Amino acid sequence: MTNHNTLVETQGVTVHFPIKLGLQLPFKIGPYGGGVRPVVHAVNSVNLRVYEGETLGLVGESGSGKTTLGRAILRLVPTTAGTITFEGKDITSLSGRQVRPMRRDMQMVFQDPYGSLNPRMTVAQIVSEPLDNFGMGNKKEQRARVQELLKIVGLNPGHINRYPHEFSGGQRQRVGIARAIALNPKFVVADEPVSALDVSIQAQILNLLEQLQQEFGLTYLFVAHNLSVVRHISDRVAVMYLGNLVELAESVEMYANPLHPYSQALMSAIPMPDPIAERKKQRIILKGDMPSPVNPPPACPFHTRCFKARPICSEVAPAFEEKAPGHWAACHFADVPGITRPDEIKPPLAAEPSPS
Amino acid sequence: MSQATEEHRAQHTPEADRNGDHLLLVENLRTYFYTRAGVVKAVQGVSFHLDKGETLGIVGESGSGKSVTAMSIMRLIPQPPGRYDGGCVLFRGVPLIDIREQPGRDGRTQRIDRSAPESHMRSIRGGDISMIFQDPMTSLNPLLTVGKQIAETVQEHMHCGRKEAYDRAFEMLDKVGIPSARARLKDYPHQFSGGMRQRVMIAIALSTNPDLLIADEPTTALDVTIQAQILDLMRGLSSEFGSSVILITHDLGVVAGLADRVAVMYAGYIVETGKLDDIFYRAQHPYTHMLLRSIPRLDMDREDRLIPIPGSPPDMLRLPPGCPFAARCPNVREICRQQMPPLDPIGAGHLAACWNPVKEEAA
Repeated sequence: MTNHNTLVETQGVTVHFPIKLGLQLPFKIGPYGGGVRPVVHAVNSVNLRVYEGETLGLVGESGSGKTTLGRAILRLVPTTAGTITFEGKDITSLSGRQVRPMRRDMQMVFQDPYGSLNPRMTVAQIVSEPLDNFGMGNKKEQRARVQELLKIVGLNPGHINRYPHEFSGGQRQRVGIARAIALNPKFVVADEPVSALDVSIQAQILNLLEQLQQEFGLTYLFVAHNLSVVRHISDRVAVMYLGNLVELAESVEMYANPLHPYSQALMSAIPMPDPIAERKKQRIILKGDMPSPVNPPPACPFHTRCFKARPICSEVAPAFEEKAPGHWAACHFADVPGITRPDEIKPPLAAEPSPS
Repeated sequence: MSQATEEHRAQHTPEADRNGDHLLLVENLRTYFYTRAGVVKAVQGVSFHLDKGETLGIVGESGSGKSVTAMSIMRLIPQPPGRYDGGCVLFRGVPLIDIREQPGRDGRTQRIDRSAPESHMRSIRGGDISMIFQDPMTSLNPLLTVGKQIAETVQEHMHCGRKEAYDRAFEMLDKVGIPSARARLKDYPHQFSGGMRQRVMIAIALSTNPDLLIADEPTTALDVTIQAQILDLMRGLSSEFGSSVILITHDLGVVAGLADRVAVMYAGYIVETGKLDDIFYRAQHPYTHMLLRSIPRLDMDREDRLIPIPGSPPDMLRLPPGCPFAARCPNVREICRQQMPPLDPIGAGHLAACWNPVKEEAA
């Protein structure tokens, strides 16, 4: 990346969701009650910059807060603390009416191509809705624009009057993308845009997203759990765990040299469609599950499962620091190799000679 | 094996001979669904075999018929709308499904069904053949404790008492890596996380020492690090228990790490099958070849564009004649649109159904 103009910046963005309890009691039962409203710590004080023209991949497992962060940046969920700036302008405190003009520049592509299109609307209506909302052009001009958009995303412009159910999953995702780029936005949050699609269709959509980025100079925040897909499409990758940003680096660097133990485990867990690589691979098998975001562990959120954990990890939260140029991580022992519990590192499956 | 099984096998010596050494032999299996919208030929003439201790990966996209194949082996297809329209499934020489057609005296074709009786299937399901399903959230009974659900299976198939069954349940939970297993026998499924529930499913499946384990997308609903835990567990268990495994998945990475042999399915057919390395490094069917090139890999350059397969999978209600992949295939010829190619050998244990296979690439 030569261009380092910041398009979106988050500073200390925190999103907490209060849990609605069925019965409010004045006294304490278990961990709840007694006037303390439990909250889901979905996103905890995330500092992130998205540069103009880049694709920033955001990975993490379910419950890591990656989707919530993406939505918070678009002001689709309220932030509890922190500020979000878009093109240098603080948009955190804008009212609903004030934020509306910004929506032209910030769009979203959703995961589910079935649920995100209204089954009672034709493609023409779906794709022209954003044009309508911002009063762009008359009916005839809008129709021409919709046809142009369909052509851009690789759909037959003649299908303009069809309904979503007449399209396959991949085609529906193309409709969703056409809607997202209808207003020529600058920034698109793509939330798991290919995970609901068949394997042979995913590549079509990924290539389309890349092509649109080149053509229209889009900036993407690409949220996904499939690490191979994220590596392919992203310039930089951010890893989240339990609402916290744990590592951020250029894509190639992240996959070649992950510093945070969680990222290391995550990278080693990716099943590779390559039997020889699978046989040679060293696996880090983490113990247990991700803790509940209602009651996250103190200090470093990963210390309960970490194979490098020392007493300090449960006492002092590690700072999110630049460990190498452009490579950030939040770990006390990121640059200390060798502190491992060897029982969790699985040796390669077999030292078979590779076939010719 | 129960006595009924022995008797049943005795009546079927010709098939038993054909079975050879294979634990499971599926021949020309056809499973169709007769729906109001039309006939869905979900599995159209699938043949494969599985030997003892082997892991066979069946890969394909949604709608390719991989799950229906698995359900057919267990005879779990709801009838109607489903129907086994032909072929046989021989498990240790016993025909679980054996349906053929032959001309009757009146000149019309007659359907002859020599499949094992339902009573035999009951002893097979969960006993000799076990299955793990994709969704650990819905495949466990929420009203029964986990211990009860394992013990129930053990009591039914291993004909032992309650105490013994619960001991076995504890042993299994412990083996699949659930901490403080003895105490957790009394817990209900909702008290377990997704990964833990899948471990419980595996414990139930292996509690009867099955000869064959069918795992249908066992890790699809799980997160990456939890998937790694479960795959690691399955790798260890199949070697410890000596079970044969049929692993059904759409994830080529999962297959690459676990299977010995692979069958690739497309629109109800096996289009290519062979040893793991044959499929991944010497694929000859254009679908397999292109599929492997369309997925992002960790070892490719960031600048490399993916090469997508054009078009989309066919509508199973309106399958065109000939090869179902013809419409998306770069190697398509005239004959492809008229006639389905047979699954022919192209190497040792490597078969492909294609009129115009991909030429061997320089390695």
